Amino acid sequence: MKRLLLLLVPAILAGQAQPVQTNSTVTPMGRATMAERNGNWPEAAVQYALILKTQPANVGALIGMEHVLPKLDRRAEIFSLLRQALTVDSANVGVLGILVRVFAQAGQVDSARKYVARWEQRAPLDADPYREWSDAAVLVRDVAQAKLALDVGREKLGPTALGIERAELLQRTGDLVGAVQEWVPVVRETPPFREGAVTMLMRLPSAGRLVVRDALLKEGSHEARQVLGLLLVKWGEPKDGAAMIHAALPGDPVAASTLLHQLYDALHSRLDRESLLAGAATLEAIAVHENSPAAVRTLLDAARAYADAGDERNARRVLSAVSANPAAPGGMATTASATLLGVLIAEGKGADAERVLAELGDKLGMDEHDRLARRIAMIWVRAGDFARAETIVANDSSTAGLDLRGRFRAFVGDLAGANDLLKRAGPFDEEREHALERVALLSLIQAIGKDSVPALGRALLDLESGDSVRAVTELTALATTFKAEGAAEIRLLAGRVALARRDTATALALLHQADVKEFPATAAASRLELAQISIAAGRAVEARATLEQLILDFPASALVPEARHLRDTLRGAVPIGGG
Amino acid sequence: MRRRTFLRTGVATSAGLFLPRRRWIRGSSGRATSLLVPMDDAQDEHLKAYGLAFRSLEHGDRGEWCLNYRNGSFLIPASETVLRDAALAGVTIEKIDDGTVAAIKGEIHGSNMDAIPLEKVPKVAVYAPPDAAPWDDAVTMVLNYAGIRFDRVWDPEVMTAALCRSTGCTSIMRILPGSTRSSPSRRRVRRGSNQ
Repeated sequence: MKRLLLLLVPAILAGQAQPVQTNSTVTPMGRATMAERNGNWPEAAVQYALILKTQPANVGALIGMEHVLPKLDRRAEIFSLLRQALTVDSANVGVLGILVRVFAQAGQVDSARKYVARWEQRAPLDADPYREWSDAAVLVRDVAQAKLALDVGREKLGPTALGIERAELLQRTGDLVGAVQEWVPVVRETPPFREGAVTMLMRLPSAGRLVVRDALLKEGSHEARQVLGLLLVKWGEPKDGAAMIHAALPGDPVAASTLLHQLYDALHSRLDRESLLAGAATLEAIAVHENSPAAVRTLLDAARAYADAGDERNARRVLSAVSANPAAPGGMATTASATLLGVLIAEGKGADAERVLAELGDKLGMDEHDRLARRIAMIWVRAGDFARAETIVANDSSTAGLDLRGRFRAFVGDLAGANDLLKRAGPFDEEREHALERVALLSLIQAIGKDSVPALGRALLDLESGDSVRAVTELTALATTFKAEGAAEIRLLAGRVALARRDTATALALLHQADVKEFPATAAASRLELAQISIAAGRAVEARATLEQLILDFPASALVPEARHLRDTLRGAVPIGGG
Repeated sequence: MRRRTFLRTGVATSAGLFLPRRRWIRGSSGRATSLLVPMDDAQDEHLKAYGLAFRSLEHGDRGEWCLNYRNGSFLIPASETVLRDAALAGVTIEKIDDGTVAAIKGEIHGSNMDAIPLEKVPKVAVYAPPDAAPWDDAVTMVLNYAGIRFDRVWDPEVMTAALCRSTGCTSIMRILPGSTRSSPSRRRVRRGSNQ
């Protein structure tokens, strides 16, 4: 009772003039559908029968019976119900549809065909009767009947009718050439179905793909090549696929743009370099069909895609075009130039980068300008042109600028100048890592205690350029020319470089040599590195002994807390990696 | 490999250029006979300080727990072993001579303080599952960190009463409320002395 009230209340609130909902349990249809929904097939059949007793042509009740009776193993009863319905309303399309389905599923082809013909008389140009017949036959795996349904339909409706259904059926039966021959006219007639054709054909195994490829190539039309191009992209041949589509674009700009977007969507889901490059080229082609602001945005995306694929030349070409485009909105032209600048810097083209930076002028914020200038300066340093590098950052008095200028001095061996600038940069930075690097370099310079050591500059520059093998050799040789603390600190640096290169033997030798008790900072750092090597090698006892010796010998060292933490980790007092 | 790669690992050495040096041994200039382990703000490693006192007793030393004096500091005899232990653990200690010890004791006598002799090594057992990692349990985690030896007991030991026979404990006590949050039934079993 309570449930009934709950169901009734919304209907009452909605207004009594409103027709009663069919899913309400008040009506026979409501009770029937509720019973069917709950899986109570006998009750559903009873309720549907009650409806049909008074309304024999009630399509809803007949559909219900069509569903319910097979579950009760009373399939045959539907025929008498449908005959009764026909006596009441012989032209009811709903009833005719059920008749087509049940006769097709029962394998009574002539009866199905008869009722399709009657349905066709009611709707002469409608493909639904044939589609319904074919689908019902497919459901019971009666392929011959399904094909007959589609053949009859095509005979009635025209040579290209029911192409999609025929293509799907042929693909299902393994006639891939036939399927392709159906799909191409469908795509020609209705281009939006191209996506459906590709989705269907792309799932084929490799043997089937070859057949489809050959069939589409043989067909040779624009539409066939468009479908094949998209299929090739999906099958992992982005370059060939994209090339095929670019060569088969429709003449209509809107249709061409649609196809290009479809191609880009297919390429965009792939991350390999070929796909990125093909995607970039496609974006460029899309931009041709767009108005100015949208085209500029698309070209920027294309440039980024080229840059992501490592094709700096094309990225630069596109960006140059955008930044030189007078119609490009100001902000976008600046963005293009800034991106171009990034590409030029990545390519190591210092002069071009300097020119673009100058052109950008005050369009960039000061911090951004200085940041890019520092990156350009590094290009000149790597090229050995220190004077030009220093000129670019000469007025940069930010922490990063002073740091970089200090490094430049160090690279030319001017340790006094480097010391001065690095000290002015101070111990803090936006990134802790940078600050620690600076302090490490300062520590090395102070330990060496000389105003000028060109050989150290060369080693540091090699290190900056990534030539660590050469750097270790140079630092090792340099250490022999120094006495005391300077030598120890240089060996510590060389040991760390060797360790980072996983040359453990060299690293161990250098770090042991750097462990000179008279120079606590260097010795403590060496021991910590040695302990780390022991830990990495699984020699916990040895590592613990080294750490304890570090703590006891150099209790004032800044490394003692880290050493204690490592020791605690080794004795299981704190979790590995724990704070 | 770039400069940044190798500098990242061991660069903390040089960071010391900007860091203040810290002394963990303080004390009077006279001949040190005792070590005071402060438990007030001067202490950098409070948990490990308990461990230091515990291990000192394990080595056969006798000490005192100065209740209410500098937040319950420990007074233990000076020895190379304890000094080494404190240095390794980072426990702050103060070397003091006999005169200073006498002054401290005088202050304790004259105030609401007390000095409890520490003579026997406490036997500690923790009621915890045998397969639990130390840091799954607040009590075992703290004891491990402090370096205090303990036994782990679980239901079989409690059920068979073997615990009391083997440890000689006189009572089973509920652990501090803060440590029982994860398991209301958790108990710590201790010998009656040295509490």
